[in-house]
Amino acid sequence: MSAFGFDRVHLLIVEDNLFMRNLYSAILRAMEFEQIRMAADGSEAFELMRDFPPDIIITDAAMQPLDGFDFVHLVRTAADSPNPLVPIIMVTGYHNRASVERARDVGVNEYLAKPVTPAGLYSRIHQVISKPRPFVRTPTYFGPNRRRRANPNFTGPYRRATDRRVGPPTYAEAVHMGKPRKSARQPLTEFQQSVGVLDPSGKPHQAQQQWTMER
Amino acid sequence: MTVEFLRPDRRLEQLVGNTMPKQMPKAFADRTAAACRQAIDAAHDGMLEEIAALWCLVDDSGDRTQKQLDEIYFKSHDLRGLCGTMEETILAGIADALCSYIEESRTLNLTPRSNIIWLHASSLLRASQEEDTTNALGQYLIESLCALRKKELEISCPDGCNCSFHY
Repeated sequence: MSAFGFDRVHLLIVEDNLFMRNLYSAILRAMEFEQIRMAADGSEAFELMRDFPPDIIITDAAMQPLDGFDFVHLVRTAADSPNPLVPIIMVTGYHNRASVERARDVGVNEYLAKPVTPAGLYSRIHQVISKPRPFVRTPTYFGPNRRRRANPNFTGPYRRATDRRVGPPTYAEAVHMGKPRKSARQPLTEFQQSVGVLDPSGKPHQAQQQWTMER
Repeated sequence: MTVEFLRPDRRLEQLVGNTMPKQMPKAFADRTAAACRQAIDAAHDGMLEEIAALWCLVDDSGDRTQKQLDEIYFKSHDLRGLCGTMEETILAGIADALCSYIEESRTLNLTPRSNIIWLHASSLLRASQEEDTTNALGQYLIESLCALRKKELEISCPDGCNCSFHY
């Protein structure tokens, strides 16, 4: 049995190039993954998913006839998709921003630009196993939550009624509230409470309400 | 706008647990490096065959159909990833230059020119026949191809000015 139980994880590799398929297989088998199946393009992979329910999919982007982007879109949104929530890692030679954004918008969990390295592949697998993101369904998108982290410098409006910020205020906000953090010299939690940052329960502090009203 | 949040599937967590370290364990690193080296050695001849196949696609005269162009593009795109993974940086750079030329031409609604595609494929074939392609000459070749692409797209500016069309 493998050290981390990888031998029980079902991996599906979607790649049209034979040499790259062999390379992935060699790397993943060296990591003790044993349940690996291959497909040469998106349509073959979609069919294969019915017989071999994968736990993780690793897919290329440029393939014919069904490319990686369309394949991911199909997995996430098709009515007959075997598993719309399956984690998908896209490994591709496309390095441009447009491709990364397209991958994100069709519902890819992790993106890895070629050249492929064992460390890069491991880190993406670690991400999907250890830090799975919740899925989001909106009228225009279905896939993993595209917000990976709360931006502490975000000063714009919150678009959803349920949005809550639980981190420390930005420097500009703190100055606005008359309590810049540097001069406070106190533990972060006390400082957060003193300037009225929302706590995880979503209950606003009095100072936070006051600050919101002032704005 | 209605937003619904769904919990991710917990099957992976149940299979692997929380024991997976963030950094790859040394034993894995050693094994994967050896496996990678072996796979790369085995794929070397295949890479040369792929380059030869690209040359066969390119080395004919006349205008190309969209389908042929697609084939050339996908082949060079494959080579970009494959050569990069095999640490053949010069070959990967030339394949990347060819992909970029076709991609950018299409973005500007231009038809990629046969001569320029031929030059890229010819350079790729020649570089693949060298023993050591990680040299200054190889780098110069890539830079020249990139400069050629830039110049070609600049000439295509509808106003005929030197405006670095869309750069």
